[in-house]
Amino acid sequence: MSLEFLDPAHWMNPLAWTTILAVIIAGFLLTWIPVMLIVERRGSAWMQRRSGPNRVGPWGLMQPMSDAIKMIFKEANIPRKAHKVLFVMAPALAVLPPFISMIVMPLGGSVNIGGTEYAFQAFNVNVGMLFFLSITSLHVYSVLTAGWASNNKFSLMGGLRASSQMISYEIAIGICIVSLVLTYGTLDLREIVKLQEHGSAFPVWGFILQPVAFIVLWICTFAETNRLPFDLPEGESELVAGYHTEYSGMTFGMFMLGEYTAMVASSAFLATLFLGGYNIPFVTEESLRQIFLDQGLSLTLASLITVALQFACLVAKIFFFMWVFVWVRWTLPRFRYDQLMDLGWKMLLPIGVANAIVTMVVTYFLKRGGL
Amino acid sequence: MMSSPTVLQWIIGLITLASAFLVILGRNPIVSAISLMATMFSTGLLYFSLGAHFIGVVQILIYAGAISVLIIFIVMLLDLRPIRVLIPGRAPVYALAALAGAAFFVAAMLSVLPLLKNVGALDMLGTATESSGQQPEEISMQLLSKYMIPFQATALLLLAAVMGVVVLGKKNMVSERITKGAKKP
Repeated sequence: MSLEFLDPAHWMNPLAWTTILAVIIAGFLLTWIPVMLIVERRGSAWMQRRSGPNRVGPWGLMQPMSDAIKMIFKEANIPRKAHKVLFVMAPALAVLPPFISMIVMPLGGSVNIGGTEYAFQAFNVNVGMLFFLSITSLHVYSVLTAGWASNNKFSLMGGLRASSQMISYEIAIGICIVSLVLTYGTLDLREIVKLQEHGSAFPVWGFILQPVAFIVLWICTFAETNRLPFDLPEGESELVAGYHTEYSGMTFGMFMLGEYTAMVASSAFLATLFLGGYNIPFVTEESLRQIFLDQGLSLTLASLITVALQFACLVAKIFFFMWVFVWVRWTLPRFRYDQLMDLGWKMLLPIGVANAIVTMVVTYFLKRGGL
Repeated sequence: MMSSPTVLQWIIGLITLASAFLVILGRNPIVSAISLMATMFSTGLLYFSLGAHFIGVVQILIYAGAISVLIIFIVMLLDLRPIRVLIPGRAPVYALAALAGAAFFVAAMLSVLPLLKNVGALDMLGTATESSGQQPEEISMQLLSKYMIPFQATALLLLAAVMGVVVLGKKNMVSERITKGAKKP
């Protein structure tokens, strides 16, 4: 018996690597759900000077587990007058887009296995930025179909509100993307992260180069994920619970799962574009790998540890954005619907267009070699 | 070189066809609209499997992501009931529709078949999709140089359409003007 199979160089190929990455991405996104549940509930309690759920397990840490068990064993009721196929399909449509959109996200540098460099990214496409936006724009279908299939006026109102809100804010996102493409000169997310690698110098990340686009895109992310202060589709005081009024048990749980995974995917997108992605400040991938090589580790192990550290750095950046999501939710009140539309069309869109024009002029003169 | 379709392409193609059939066979307008979205999306996937990433992304972003949402939005606002009978017992109408469909199919095939026969053209298509590293740049260069005038003309056309919709939407304004105009002489 040989132990050859323990050495990944003997069996690693692109297909196996992509499969491993798919498992990692799915596990990564699902792990965020219980973490965010406890952060949201305990975090809100902390902000409002309450105790929050603190009875299940040590410091209430097992609360998400009991929540999940409760949801799975509750009856998933389907209203008699609902459109059955679409009613069941809508929660699935809520979960799918965040998982698909994460495949283009560069999660780390590359791992050297048997002399081949395997990029820590499931699908390296040269239009990654557009791919992410196109897949996340499909999220609106889950809300629309849920609202319509429930055969409930409140649900339909919630679905319509959500769709018009998402379409409006997607326009501002598109304008921000234009100025970003002009800044970086590429649509490739991996390339963008590489451009933000500055080694020992001060990390000049995207949010320093494009502060206005950063703020506008960040605000739009809140609207796209239907989080407060933009959660009018489920405004309790007007619409009971909006598009998921009729959903119970795990069908509702899947909407929640979709919301949190969408938040993670959007946070990863923001971190990749503006916070240097997986880059660790003040070290490059090569220098980090060299440190571990100097310790006498093999090339595979050294690159693996480097990628793990970079991935941890990306997770820290994502957590920053996730915490701000929670922070804003328990700080700001909900907008009125006309205020929401005014903010999207009369504030963010003109600011985005002005920013794009300024970026165009600056890029033109920089390319010519003199400002 | 163009190879024969892979298993994945067959599956995507079958999904595309099935959802396209559901668009015209579905009794419920909402189901039709959602299957139209599915058709657009799987067409985008087909482009992806051919290596044309940029075209695939644009297909999903614009057709599946934006236009289909508007169609579904409008259908939902209209609150259409499921259609029981398409056209009550008019055989000639069905025959005419079938004839028109067949004519359209033949015309589409006639425009595509020369491409399929011409191996050189196929090879060009293959290399164009394989060298997708420069795709967005190439397409934008073509749009802003060779096809500049059609590109701008399309924008003007869309603007005119939008203005037309606004004018039609403000029914009162139009009718008031017509009545005022009628009163003047």
